[in-house]
Amino acid sequence: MTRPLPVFKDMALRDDAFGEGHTLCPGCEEAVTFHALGRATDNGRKTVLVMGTSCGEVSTLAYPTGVAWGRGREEPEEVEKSLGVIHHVFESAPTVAEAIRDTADLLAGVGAWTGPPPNVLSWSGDGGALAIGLRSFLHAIHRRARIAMFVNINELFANTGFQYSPTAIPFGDASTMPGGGSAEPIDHIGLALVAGAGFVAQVSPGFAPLFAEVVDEALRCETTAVVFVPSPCIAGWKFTEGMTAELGRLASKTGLFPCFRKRAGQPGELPQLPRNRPPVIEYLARQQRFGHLVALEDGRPIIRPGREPEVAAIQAYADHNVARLQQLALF
Amino acid sequence: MATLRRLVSPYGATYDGAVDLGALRAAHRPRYLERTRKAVDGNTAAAIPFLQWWRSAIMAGFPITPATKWLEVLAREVAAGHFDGPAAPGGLPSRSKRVKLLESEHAVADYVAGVAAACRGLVVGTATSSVGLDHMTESVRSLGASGLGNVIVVDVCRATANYPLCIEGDPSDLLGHRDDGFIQVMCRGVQQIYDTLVQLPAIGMHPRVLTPTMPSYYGIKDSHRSGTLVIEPDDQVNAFLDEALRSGEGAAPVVEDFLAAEGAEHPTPPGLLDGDTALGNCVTGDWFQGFKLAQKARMAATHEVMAEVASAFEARFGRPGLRPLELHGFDDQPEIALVCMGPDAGTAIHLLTRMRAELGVRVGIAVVRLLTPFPARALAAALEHVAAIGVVNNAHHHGRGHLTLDVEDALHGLARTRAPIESYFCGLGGADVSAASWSHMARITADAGTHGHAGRRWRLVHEGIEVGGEDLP
Repeated sequence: MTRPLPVFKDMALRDDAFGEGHTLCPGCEEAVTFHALGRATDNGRKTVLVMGTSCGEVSTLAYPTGVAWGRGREEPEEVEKSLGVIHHVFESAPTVAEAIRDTADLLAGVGAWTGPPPNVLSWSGDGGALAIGLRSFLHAIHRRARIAMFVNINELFANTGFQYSPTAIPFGDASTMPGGGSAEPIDHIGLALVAGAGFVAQVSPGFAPLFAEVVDEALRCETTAVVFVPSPCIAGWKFTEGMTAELGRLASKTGLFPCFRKRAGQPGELPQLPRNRPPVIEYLARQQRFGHLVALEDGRPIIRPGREPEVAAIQAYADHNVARLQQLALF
Repeated sequence: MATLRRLVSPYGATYDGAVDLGALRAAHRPRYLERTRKAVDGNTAAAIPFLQWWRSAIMAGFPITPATKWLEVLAREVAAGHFDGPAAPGGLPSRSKRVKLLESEHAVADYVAGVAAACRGLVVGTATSSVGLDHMTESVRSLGASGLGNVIVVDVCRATANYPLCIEGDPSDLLGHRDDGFIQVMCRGVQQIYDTLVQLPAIGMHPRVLTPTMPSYYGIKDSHRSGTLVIEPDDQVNAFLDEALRSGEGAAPVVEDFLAAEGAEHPTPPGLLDGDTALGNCVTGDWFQGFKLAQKARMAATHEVMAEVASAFEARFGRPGLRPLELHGFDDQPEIALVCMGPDAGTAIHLLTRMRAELGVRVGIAVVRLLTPFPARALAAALEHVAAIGVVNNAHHHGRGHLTLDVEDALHGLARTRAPIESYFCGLGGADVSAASWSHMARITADAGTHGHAGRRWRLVHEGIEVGGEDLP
């Protein structure tokens, strides 16, 4: 008997709906995410992608030459392979996506849509979903919108030039908050859970097999699926080329943005979290946005004199963030 | 499902058969089988067409005074099971209509954008007012440029949100959204509200227009005033819209559309569910201008398409179709004209004979129905031979009044007349525009005609008394 391929390998064989033409920065994690979404949605269902204004949107959906979305070089013959993509304002992606799914469901109810339910995905930046768009984000979940919501978390408003975002870990430099602030990130996972999401996950594409599993499950979720995608921003964080995936993994392993997966009504988990987590300084020292706190000296991270309290505060946040998410995963 | 790809240059592809609108049409449960007379208020009159259109599968809303009843009527009708079909074994009945409640007006505007973009053959609408419309602004301004002519935002006009709060009807909200990109039409009375709603999707969804519509009427004065409404049977209402849309298929663009491939027809772009397409892309400034040129051309086509739709409406239903202006007292070439809009125009029309007798002057009343695009040519032609014009503004404006500026613009360069314009503010915040006020404004306008110039830059009139104004320099 042939064993089914793992999700990750199965997806690798599918047709991608994300291709050339985008203007994302070299080394941007979002391109990896988009390829994963592009392949995952080749699942025998029509796909509609709603993009709130974000760097991911402006870099992939520009007229006339920068539309990077679509399966194949020409419009596919089968509607199940096709992709409808729409951009709407920053905070609106979940609501627009909900409307599209509602329309498909109503049409299906009267026999006007006879195909399988479509994949309807919303894509938002952390600003779009968790700052200006927190209202629409939470209420779409509260209404149990039958959509898969993806929220790119790069801790900055990258689209507009790296301003402070409420998802930022403390003391990261931002153009509107030089040196960063002491506020801890908004509890986005807790908010999604208490609002009633059917499936909540946080995972970086740096964990490629896990990421593929999560995306696949989100698309199969019968109610609202929310996937937070921690996403190193090479232009905003200012790190060395080639470190994107590694920083995504470090963000998780340190406990700052740990992988998380939970289905409503079932215990969740924090996969890929090592028993001995690396200290946050390993993560901070590889990003120029924390250059006022830490540095690399002969390849080893050091704390700049006098900045020990800030680094300790970030470490404390990582520790209780893990403890808090473990508590959330229990129920 | 069996589908056939059809390339729709330059938008992408449509998959014929993916959405079977015939099935939705067949699932519609007619609400009115024959012509029916009913006493209803304005909000109900505006809601009824959404119950009648088979294309109106989803209505969305968030309550706000004085528009709330529009939503309540729809919610009650759908909940009563009027649109329920057979139930699946062990399941709930299928429903050919649904009312969606969102958490705010902004979300409502986002939502209607999603429904409209998902399937362009549907009609999707909401109703709002004042700050509700303001709260929608970000999304409504996007919709105005989107080409989604299947969106209807009913504006139940209301004055300001605060400083001071006033829930009575004046068109401050509507006039604050003149540049959102919607076709804006003012109605008065339940029959005009209903008839306008019945006609507007035939205009907005016409392939030459593809522009969302914003029918409007004054809060309280019309939203809460009951009158006798003639409701046409569902099959006629739907046949009217279906035939209008069929007649528009393949229509040539009004001006050369930079988006259309050479020799192409002017197709309706694909929807997101039944198409392979992208909507709402980024562009640089160079390309942006082309998009705006196309938007402007679609809006301008409203005038011609509206005339066709109005004629078809008159032929089918035997009532006046939607025309950009109502002219009263223009049969005998009026010496002065009062330009106005909204429910208080009805008072002026009622008083017309008396005003003429009192002043000994032939007075004409021009009621503006189409606000955007403004019917400048039609108005200029109507006013070409009058000796003076009085423009009655019902909304606060920092200068001489929104409507006054439009009238000035219409006359400038389009008419040979140098007739002076007296500009009035009257009925702000839904205040009464009384018989005494109409008489006063007619008399001042007649004086301007006699003297050949306006007496003041603007005047605020209440109960026949001039309570404020600005003198000429």
